[in-house]
Amino acid sequence: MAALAELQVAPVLLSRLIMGSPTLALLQAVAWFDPTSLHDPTGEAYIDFDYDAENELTTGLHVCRACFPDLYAGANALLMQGWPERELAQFICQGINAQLVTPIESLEALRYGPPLECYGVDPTLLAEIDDPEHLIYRSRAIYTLFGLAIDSNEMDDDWSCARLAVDILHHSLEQQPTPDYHDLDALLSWMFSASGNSLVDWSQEAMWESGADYPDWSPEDIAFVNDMTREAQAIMRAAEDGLVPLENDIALCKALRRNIRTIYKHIERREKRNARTYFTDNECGAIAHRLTWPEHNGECAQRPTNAHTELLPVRRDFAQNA
Amino acid sequence: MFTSLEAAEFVNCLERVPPVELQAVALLQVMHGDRSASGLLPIVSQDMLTSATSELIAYTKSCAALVSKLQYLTPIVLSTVECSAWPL
Repeated sequence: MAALAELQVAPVLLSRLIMGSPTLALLQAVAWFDPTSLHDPTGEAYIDFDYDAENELTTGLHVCRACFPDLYAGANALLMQGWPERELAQFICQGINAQLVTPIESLEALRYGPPLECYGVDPTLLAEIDDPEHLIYRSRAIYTLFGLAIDSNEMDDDWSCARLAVDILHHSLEQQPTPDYHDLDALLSWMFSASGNSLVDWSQEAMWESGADYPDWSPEDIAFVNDMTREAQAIMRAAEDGLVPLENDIALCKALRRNIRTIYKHIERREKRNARTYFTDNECGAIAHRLTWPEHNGECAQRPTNAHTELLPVRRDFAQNA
Repeated sequence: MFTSLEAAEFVNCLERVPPVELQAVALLQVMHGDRSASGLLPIVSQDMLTSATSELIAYTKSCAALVSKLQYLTPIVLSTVECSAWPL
């Protein structure tokens, strides 16, 4: 009985001992509130965290500790309550997704950094899209206005020429007062990878193979990726809206064809003189000034009923969940 | 003016530094004071929990940064200070 009584008093004594020493109290505080740091006393592993070597839950806690302190605190509290790892991982995954524009599928995806959802067109795959509702499929006729044979694998020169024409068209379209023309500008910039937003200009494969530095799990990089994704989604919404007038307004379609021809004549003249085949900003502006567009009030722009997310060419599952 | 420092004095000096007041430690004190808590943290708001955790993480990082700085501290020759405990 005496031993049992001593055992019952032991936690109280231990408690007094711990809280009587600042060092022990601090150690216990770390164990409760920041247990991840106990595995990394020097802080070096925090800087060079090996995402491939750690399990999903450890990776999730690491990311939360670096970027989402409220989520980290909540996850630690659940960890202390003995929550199963699977449910804890789900809690962390949902919490992280609440902070991202493009969500992750699971904690396993954390090793790749904040998700980058690319919408760019791969010119070599244009002919392979056979879904009539797909934005790329619906845009194929516009490529032909630029003289591009989309089923050809050898259109590098033609593509460069078309890309130059799009730059000049951009100078003209951005000056137009009607939003439909701004949407058309967005459509062309997406079709020819000329938007300046990497997510719009690069296909997923091009992004992976680019060798570019991917964003890391840091508050700054997450904010950057979220901003870039929001901008990309706005461009893609505008691009889809920009296609509708072209599909419905013959006058607009004729004007686009005429303007493309006008630009191509300037390019041909430049080529015949064996001069450089690029134009300065001033030269682009001068050519753009000669382009004309019909007055457009947007009445023919019957928006399709399908959601904008349907247009996304890759990783459609993410888009539908967003 | 500061002219000398013995090892024992240095230790005394460090020992007189009061422990930093951390919210996490304060919460633990509440837990230890409440016998009915059954070893669990007292029920506090998510904001308080987040604040305590963030403060502790920041404190850990600042300590790690300080250790890192001390490791690469450049020696300074003190020709006018008598420091008999450390003949170097």
